[in-house]
Formats: sequence, structure tokens, C-alpha cells
Amino acid sequence: MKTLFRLTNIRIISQVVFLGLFLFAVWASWTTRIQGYPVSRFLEIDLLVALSTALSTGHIYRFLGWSILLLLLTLLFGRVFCNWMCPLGTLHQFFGWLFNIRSVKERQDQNRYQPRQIIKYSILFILLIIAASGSVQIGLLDPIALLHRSVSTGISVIWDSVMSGSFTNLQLAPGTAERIFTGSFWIGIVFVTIIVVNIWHPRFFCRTLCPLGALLGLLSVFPLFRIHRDLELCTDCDLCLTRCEGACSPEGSIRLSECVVCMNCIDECPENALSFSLPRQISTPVSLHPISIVATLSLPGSLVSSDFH
Amino acid sequence: LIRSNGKVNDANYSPLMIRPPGSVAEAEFLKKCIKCAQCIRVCPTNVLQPTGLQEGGIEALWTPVLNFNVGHCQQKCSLCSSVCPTGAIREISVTEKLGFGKFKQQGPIRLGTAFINRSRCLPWANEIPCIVCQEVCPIAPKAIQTYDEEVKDTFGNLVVLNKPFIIPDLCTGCGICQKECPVTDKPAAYVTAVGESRSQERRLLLRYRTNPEES
Repeated sequence: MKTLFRLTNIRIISQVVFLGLFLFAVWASWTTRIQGYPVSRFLEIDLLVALSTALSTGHIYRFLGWSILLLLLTLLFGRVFCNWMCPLGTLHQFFGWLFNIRSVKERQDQNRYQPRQIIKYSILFILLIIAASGSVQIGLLDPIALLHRSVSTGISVIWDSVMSGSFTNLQLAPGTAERIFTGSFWIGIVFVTIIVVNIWHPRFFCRTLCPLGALLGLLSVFPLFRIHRDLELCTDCDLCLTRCEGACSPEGSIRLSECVVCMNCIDECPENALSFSLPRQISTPVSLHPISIVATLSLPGSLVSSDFH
Repeated sequence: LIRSNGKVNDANYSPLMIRPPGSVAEAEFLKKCIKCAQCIRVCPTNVLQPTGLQEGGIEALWTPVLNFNVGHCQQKCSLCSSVCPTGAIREISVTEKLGFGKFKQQGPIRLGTAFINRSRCLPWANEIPCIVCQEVCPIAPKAIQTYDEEVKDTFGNLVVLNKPFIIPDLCTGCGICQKECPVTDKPAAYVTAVGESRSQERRLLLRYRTNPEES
């Protein structure tokens, strides 16, 4: 069970790699370092950017077509982007983990599905309507745009002041003593707020606000691969909720639009009842008890059919 | 509803709304810009700033805008246009930006036009010699030139003043005059968005209001 080659370990490696790539892109997009290689790949696979600019302008610019990769990935595996690739998601998960001093029971309650998670679909809907009417505002909440803006205008100012005196004057054009950004305080406040909220509500941003997550959630209603729960093995212990990232009710019928495919539930399950696999004949009691099928067919609306569905 | 403050149309646009070189026209710009701030990040002179509320209202919040009090737009740089993922700043070359080579007909990309505030300019208002803006102007021939005038100042001394004036035909709005003006808080040389080449309607001089494809 607790082997090194768990899917969650591969996931963590993937997250670290993508966060590293993102930070490298931020580091590299600098006057003296930019050598012609593209640094905005993250924004170019961002499906929400492609969709909303396509809605507002009627065409897809330059490399934004790469987002088709993310579309295919999502159709195959669900919201893997959210928990395997998204650098902001990784930060949320990290800070949620860092400040997690709760008991197992409290964490399980925290990770139950909450109705407020619908808010993100409303946000997505409103932002897409605004985009279609000619004003793209998705950048305010799109995770990649938000993170890049916060890092490059809010956080980097702190970084600059740490680095000043060593080689800052080499990095800037002559006559530019230090970098300032008007309004970076407010940009920073938004960023710090959504990070700090993780203390009380783990992954609040991902679950409740993120419009990209909502878009990918809508696309992953019927993914090819998904989390399956074996009802035969499941003992309803709710342990799968302990580290659930998406609050997608793995303990009941899983909400695929909320599931971020973190695989934590598979790790936690003591009975190995959960698996990530192709669609198959789900071992519901229906298939195990042929009589109930007959009963369902012959007596629609009877007690039998409502018990075994 | 967001747009009802009228900052997008050509009648009431903000003079401070100076977009990076290569930007598409304002309405189109707001259809494309996703506020990712990559252009702000790569800008070598720090002139690109996140837009506050007073320039463009809530709709343009945190889109890139040039603040020439902070920096100026480098002549031989088109980095912001090369990193833009959505084409709000379309990709341009330095040749196109400066209007060289095959872009000679089209002319340089203009961000705005500089003006001299004569009531704050040292030679104009205070009879103190100063030619900083004329000296730093990178355009050839210079878009800021001077009247030479010999006057008696307050103390009775004869001084030669070089009073600057702008030639809007030549000015590309790079803003280095505003950046280097010694009157630093509200510079006597300043750039406003009028004359920007991304919009036909906002051009200053009638002779530039031609369709580039026709000429």
C-alpha cells in the first residue's frame, strides 16, 4: 500500500516540475534573459484564454491553439490540469497542507462537497458573457494570469529589494534605479487573500472561484478515465475524504466535475475500494443480483428498484 | 455596463491611456488583453505599469499602460509585443516600430504625442536655461527643437534661452522627454495619448489620418 511508486508521488513530481517550469518562465521573461524562446506556454495551453478571446474576437491568436491539448487531456482524464499541472493549484495545495493542523474528522468535514462550489460556474458563465460582448475580464480570476500578474508585479518587487546591491543594476536599463508598479499593493492583496483563505477553507479558490476549473469541470462530466468506487469493498469509513482536494464526494457518488484527480482518496482507502480506471461495468448490486434487474424492469417505482440503483 | 464610462470610444478617452507599441485599437485591445502582466514583466525600463482605475475605469484594470514618469519606451525594443500570448500587443519587429526598411511608408509606431507645458518649463516660465528634453530626444531629426532667445533674467543678467517646442510630425511619443524633464513631479514635457497610430480617430494631424493600405 505505502509504496514509493504511488500515483500520488508521481502527481507530486508532476506538480513540482510544472511549478518549476512556471517559475523558470517568470525568471526567463526578463530583458537580458529572454532569448527568443517562448515563455508564455502556460497561458497558451490555458483553454479559458483561448475560449474567451475566441468569443470576443472571433479567432484564435498565434499559439493559443495549443489549448486543444488541454481540451483532449481533460476529455480523457478529467480535471488533471488542476492538480497535476496548474502552478496556482499546487501553491494552494501546498499552503493548505502547511496550515493543516486539524484532526482527521475535521478534515473530512472540510472536504465534503458544499453547495457554494457552484459559484465558480456562475463566475465562468458571467465572464464568458462579458467576453462575448467584447470585454475580456477572465484575467482577473484565471489562475495562470492571476499568478503571473501577482508574481511579476507583486512578489518580484520584494525579490528585487532582496537582490538589490548584488546585480540589480545590471538587469535594468540605464536610468532605471528600481522597479515600481502602480497598484501592485492591490494585486498583492488579492493574491495573499486567496492564499491565506486556504487556512480555513482548503483550496477555496480552486473549489469555489476558479473559472478555468469550472470550464474544465464542465468538460470532464464524462471523462474516459475516472475514479471508481467498488461498492462491494467500501465500508463507508469516509477516510477517502481526509485528503480529498476537490471536495468531490468520493464517499458517495463522485462528482466528476469537482474531482481534480489528486488520487489521494485511492491512497487513503484501507480497503482498496477506489481505483482510477477506464469505464467498466461498475459492480453495483444491480449486476450482482439479476433478480433486482428483473424487479426493476417489471416493477418500476417499486421499493426494490429504489434500493438498488 | 462596464463600458458605460465611455473610456473606450474616441470622444472621451483618457490622455493617460498610452498603450505599448504594437497594441491594437482600444476596443480590440480590451477584447484580447487577459492582464497576465508578462509585458510588464519583460519591460526593461519599468515604463509599463498595471493600469489603475483613473486611466481606464474598471474595465481596463491591471492592463498595461505606459507611465512616462517612471520610465520611457526604448527605441530598439519590442519585447512586450513578443511575449503577448493573445495578440493585444501584436508582434512587431524593431524595424516596424521605428518605421525603417519596408515600413518606411507607414512611418514609426506612435504611442502618443509630446507637449510642452510652457507654464512649468524652466526656459519658458522661469528664464532658466535648460535643454534636457531636446538633448534626450532620440528621433532624427529631433522632434523637440528650440527657439534661441537672449533675455534679461530677474537678476539683470543676459541669458541665452533655448525654448523647446515639439514637432508633432516627428514625435513618436517615446516619453523620454517626460522621464528626463527636471520638473519631475508634473513634467513640463509630457506625452498624452493623442496621435497614437493604433487608432485612426485619435491621430493628431490630418495628414496622418490616411489609411496605410491606400498610401
